[in-house]
Amino acid sequence: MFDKKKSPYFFIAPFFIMFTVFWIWPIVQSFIWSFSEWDGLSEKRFVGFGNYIALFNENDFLISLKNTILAAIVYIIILLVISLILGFLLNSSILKGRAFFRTSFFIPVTVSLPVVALIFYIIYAAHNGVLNNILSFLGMSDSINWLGDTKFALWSIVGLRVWRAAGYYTIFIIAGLQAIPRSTVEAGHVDGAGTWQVIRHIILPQLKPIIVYIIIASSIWAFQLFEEPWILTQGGPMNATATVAIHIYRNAFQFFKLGYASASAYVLTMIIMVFAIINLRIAKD
Amino acid sequence: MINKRYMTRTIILFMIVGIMSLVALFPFYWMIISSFKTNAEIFSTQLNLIPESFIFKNYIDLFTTTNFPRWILNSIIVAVSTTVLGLFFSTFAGYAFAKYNFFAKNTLFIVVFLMMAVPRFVTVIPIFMLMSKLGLTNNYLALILPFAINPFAVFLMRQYIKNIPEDLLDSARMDGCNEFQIVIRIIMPIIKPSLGAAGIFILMMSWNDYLFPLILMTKENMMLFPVGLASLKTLYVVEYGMIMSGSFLSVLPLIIAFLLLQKQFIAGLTEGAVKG
Repeated sequence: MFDKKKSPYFFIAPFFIMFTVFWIWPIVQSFIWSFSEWDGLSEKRFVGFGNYIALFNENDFLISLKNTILAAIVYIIILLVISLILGFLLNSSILKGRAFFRTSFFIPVTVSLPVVALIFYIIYAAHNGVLNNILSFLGMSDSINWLGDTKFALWSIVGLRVWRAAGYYTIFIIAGLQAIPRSTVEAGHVDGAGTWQVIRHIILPQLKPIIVYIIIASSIWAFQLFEEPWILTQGGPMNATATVAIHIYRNAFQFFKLGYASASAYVLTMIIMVFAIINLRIAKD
Repeated sequence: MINKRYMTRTIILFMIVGIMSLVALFPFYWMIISSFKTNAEIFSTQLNLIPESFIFKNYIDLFTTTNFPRWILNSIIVAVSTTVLGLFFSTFAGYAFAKYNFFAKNTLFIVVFLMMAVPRFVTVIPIFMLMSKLGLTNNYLALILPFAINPFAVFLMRQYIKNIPEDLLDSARMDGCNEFQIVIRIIMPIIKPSLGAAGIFILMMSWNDYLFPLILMTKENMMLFPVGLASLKTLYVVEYGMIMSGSFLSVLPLIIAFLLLQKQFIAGLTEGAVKG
């Protein structure tokens, strides 16, 4: 039975059967459902592109879309800048205690997002939360309603995401920096280039593949922003933290508009794909 | 002169990184000390970075008034089963992809690769409908089966197994091992550290997930800890200290495991691209 010819099929079958049932088939199904009206119980009714047209006429969806894209792009930019800075600092040979620091920056990623959200719920508290207490200790007179003010809520959530992920992506930057041959950097210095010029013209171009990877990998999760706004604000105040993921969850599991929610999920998929393709195109040039 | 400049630079760098790591660690510190405080002290008007009192009431309440022990047990059952099953699937699939040529191998591989880019929000509705139809909601299997399928883990195992020399496998075949025995007796012992890394990756995906448990485990005693803990926030009187005590207990095993197995953690999480 386990000879060289048949074995590969036996070995791949368990994974592939399960992969088809729990991954490929659901992807196909929800694509089909996205063209119909369905509450999960009664007969499906084919509506063509009706769901997609309705989505782009629904104000709540458009707000969610705007929030999702805005939060994702700001998150990715801040994340990238902080990871680059941390990567350079932690890779510096004159830094004492590098191993300790690397560990301390990596720890946040081991904490699950719901727990991170709960911790920041008390840190961000409007009345006497520790963040406001620290700011007032530093001399700021007004306390900020981090999660309750439409001006701050989305950015507070972006902030806690950055806090959790920065140390994780720093690992990639450090790995990239260590792969750059020392001689190329030294050659730059010999040619009279300053530190900044060496970073800009020698180091950053070599980090490009890693930077592109970080942008695409982090974007897949960034566009699916769900746990934190759902736990912290339920999309409020006044839709300030409503995201496409919350829109999908609400429509599917609270309003039972399964076709409509599937269409929403496919719009999200398209955004993620387009974003990835744009990045790969830019990286190629 | 050079020495002095070098010293200042070292000190400044150390201070910058030090302050940044304080920012990274502060939320943990705050979670831990808040878990020993009353609500009134957590939201004190003063900035009290060092706690005044130290009470265990939150922990006692957590175990006596909520279902927390059960939630953690549920999470452990789901995460451990998912990991064991997932490693089994991905080792065999990874071995097939790494060491055999078979019909449509490359096509299959590309299909798996492409499907990974599709967000899980696309699959959650059909999986919910499927599990409801099978009567598997509020059943551990509902969470174990979908998460035991981990394409990243298959990629990891394929990479690791590829490096094993063919001669070694051939000599085992000469000794009369069949292909199944080769995987169990030869491959698995060799890639033990890699199994650790891939296992950590699968474990973390399962342990930290919120969306699927939220939808599939709705009965109070079948909840996993992230959903259970978050539900304490919606109670009429919210005991923040108690929520922090549960958060701390749920984070503690992972942090200890991380500190002990740092190398494999970082390998598993960075080679697999975790949610972040």
